[in-house]
Amino acid sequence: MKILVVEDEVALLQDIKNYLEVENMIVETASDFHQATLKISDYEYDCIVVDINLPKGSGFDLIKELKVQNSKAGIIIISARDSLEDRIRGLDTGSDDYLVKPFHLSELNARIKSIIRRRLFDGDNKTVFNEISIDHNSQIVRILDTKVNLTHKEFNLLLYFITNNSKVLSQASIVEHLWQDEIELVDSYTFLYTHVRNLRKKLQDAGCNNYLKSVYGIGYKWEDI
Amino acid sequence: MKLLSAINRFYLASISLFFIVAGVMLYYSIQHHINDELDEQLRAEQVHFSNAIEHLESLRDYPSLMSDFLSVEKVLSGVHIEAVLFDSTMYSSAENEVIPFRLIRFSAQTQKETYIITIKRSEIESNDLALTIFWSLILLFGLFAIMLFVANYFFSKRLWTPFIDTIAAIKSLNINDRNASVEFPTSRIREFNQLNESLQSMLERLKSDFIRIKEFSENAAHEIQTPLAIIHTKLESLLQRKDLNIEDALIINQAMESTSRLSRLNKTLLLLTKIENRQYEEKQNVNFSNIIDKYIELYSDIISDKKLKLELNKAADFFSDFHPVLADILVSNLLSNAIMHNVDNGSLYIKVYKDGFEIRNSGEKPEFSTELLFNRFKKGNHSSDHLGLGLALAKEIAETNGLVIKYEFEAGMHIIGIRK
Repeated sequence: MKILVVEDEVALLQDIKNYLEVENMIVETASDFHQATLKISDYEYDCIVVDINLPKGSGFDLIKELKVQNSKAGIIIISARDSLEDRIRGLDTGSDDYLVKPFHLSELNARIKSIIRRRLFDGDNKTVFNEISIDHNSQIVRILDTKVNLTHKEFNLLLYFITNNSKVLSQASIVEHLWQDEIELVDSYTFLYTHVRNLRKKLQDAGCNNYLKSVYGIGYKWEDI
Repeated sequence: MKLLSAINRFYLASISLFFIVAGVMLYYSIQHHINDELDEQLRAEQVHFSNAIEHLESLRDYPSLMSDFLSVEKVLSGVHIEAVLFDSTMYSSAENEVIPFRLIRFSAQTQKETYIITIKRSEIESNDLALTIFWSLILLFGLFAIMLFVANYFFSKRLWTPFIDTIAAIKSLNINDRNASVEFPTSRIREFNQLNESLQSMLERLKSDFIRIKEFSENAAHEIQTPLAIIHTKLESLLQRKDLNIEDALIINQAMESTSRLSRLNKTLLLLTKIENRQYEEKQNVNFSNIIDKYIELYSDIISDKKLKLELNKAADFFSDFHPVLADILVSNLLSNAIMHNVDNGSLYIKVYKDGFEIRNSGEKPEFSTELLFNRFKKGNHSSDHLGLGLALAKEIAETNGLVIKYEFEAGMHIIGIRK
C-alpha cells in the first residue's frame, strides 16, 4: 500500500512517516505544493494525507488536482483549523476525512486504514490477525471458527489495537478514539479499563492468544507473540 | 429626553421667564409714563389757572370756580408756596367707591388776594389706560411667542434630521460584518458633515482594528496548534522506542496529556471568542429534544458504566432559533457535565418542555457560590483535568442566543435549567 503525506512541517512529516512505515506500507512525503503535484502525477497512491496550509499553494488545490486526475486515492485533510466552515469545505472538495492538529499518530493510522479498507474492498472486507478475523461489513469477529459477541465499543477497541499493531497506545489516545472529542470525562480511564477487561475476557474465552499487553501507567500494546 | 423636546422645553422656559420679567417691567413703565402725563396736565392747568386769575380782582369773578376738582383756600396776601404734586384717595359718591386721585397744590394771586389752590384728577382713567395698553402688548407678545415656538419646532425638527439619520446609520452597523459600510447622509450644515466625516473615519478605524484583533487571536490560536502538534507527535514517537524505561515513559505520557489539555483549552477559548464576537449568527429553528436524544444515545455506555439512573421526560418539543453547532455544544456540555459530576449509582433526570429544558443530577455540593460556577476557570472539587470552561461556555452560548440559564443546588441535586 502506498501513502503520500503532504505536510510543510518537516519535523511532523518525519514522525508521521516513521510511524506509518511498517510491514507492507510505503510512505512518500512532500513538504510543499510543487513536490506534491509532481508526486501525484507520477504515482497512484492508495491514500493521501494533506495539510491545508502549504508553501506555494493550498491543500484544497491539491485535492482539486487529484479529482481532475480521477485519482482513486483516499484523502485525509490534516489541519490546525477546526471550525465547521473549514471541515465542510474540506469534505465538499472531496476529501474523505478531516483530522485536526494536534492528533495522535495512532488515530491518523486508524483513519488511513479505515479509508483504504473502504476503498479497496467493496465486497469481502476482512481484517485478519493470526487466528482473529474481523468482518467489517457484518461487524462479526471470529477466533478461528468461534464467533465472539462484542459490543460496538469493544469491536472498535479491538480494531484500533490491531490497526496499531506493536505500537504503544496511550489511554488518552484510545479514549479519544472511542469517544471522540464529545466528552471530557475525568474517570474515562476507568471506563476504558472496564471495556478492555471485558474484551480481553471475551477473546480468551473464545480461545484467542493474549496479544494485548498492559503498559504500566501509560496504556496498552497489541503485539504478536 | 428627546433632543427636540429638550429644545422645546428650554425654549418654553426662557420665553416664560422673559414674559414675567418683561411683563412686570412693561407694566411699571407704562404706569410711570401715564403718571408723568397726568402730572404734566396738572401743571398745565396750574399755569392756565394762574394766568386766568391774574387780571381778576377777586376769585369770585372766576366762572368755573364751583368745580369738584378744584378747591380754593384764601390765605394772607404775599404767601407763596411752591407747586407740589401728591396722591390721595377720596370717596366718590358717583362711583360709590374709594378712588385714587392725583393732586397739585399751589399758590395763586389775583390782583388783590392770594389763594392756595388744589386741583385733583382721578387716576382711574389713566390706570385703565395703562392696563389696556399692557394687555394689548402682552397679547401681541404671546402670539409672537407661539408663532416662534411653532416655527422653532418645525425648524429644529428639520435641522436635526441629518443628526437623527446619523444615529440610525450607526445603530444599524454590524461591526462584525467585514463588508458592512455606513452611508451617512450629506447635509447642508457643515457641522453635521464634519461629524459624519469624523464618525466615518472612526468607524473605519474601529472596524479594521476589530477585524485585525479577531484575525490575530484566531491566527494565534491556530499557529499555537502546529507547534503543539509537533510536540505531541514527537512525544508519541518517543513512546514507541523499544529501549524506553518505565520512568521515562511515564514522564512522556504526562507531557503528552498536558499537550492535549493545552490544545483543548486553546480550542475552547477560541470558540468562546468566536461566540463573543458573534460569529455564529446564522440561526435555524433547532429542536432541542432531538439533540438531547442524540447525546443521551452517545453517552449511553458511560451512563450505564456509571450505573446512573436515567429518566427522560419530554412533555413537549423545545424549539429555539440557534446556530446548530452551538446547540450541539450547549447540550453536550451540560449533559457531559451532569454525567461527569455525578456519583456512581447516582441519578440523571432530564425534563423537556415547551419553553426549555432542565437537567438534574446527583452530585456533591459545590464549593463556591452558585453564581461563580459560570465564571471561567472555576471548577468543582473532583476534576483537576477538567478545564473549568464548560459552564462559562454554556452560559455564553445560552445568553447570546437569548436563552436564560439558571443553576441551583437543592437536596443533593444539581439543577441546570435553560428556558426562553
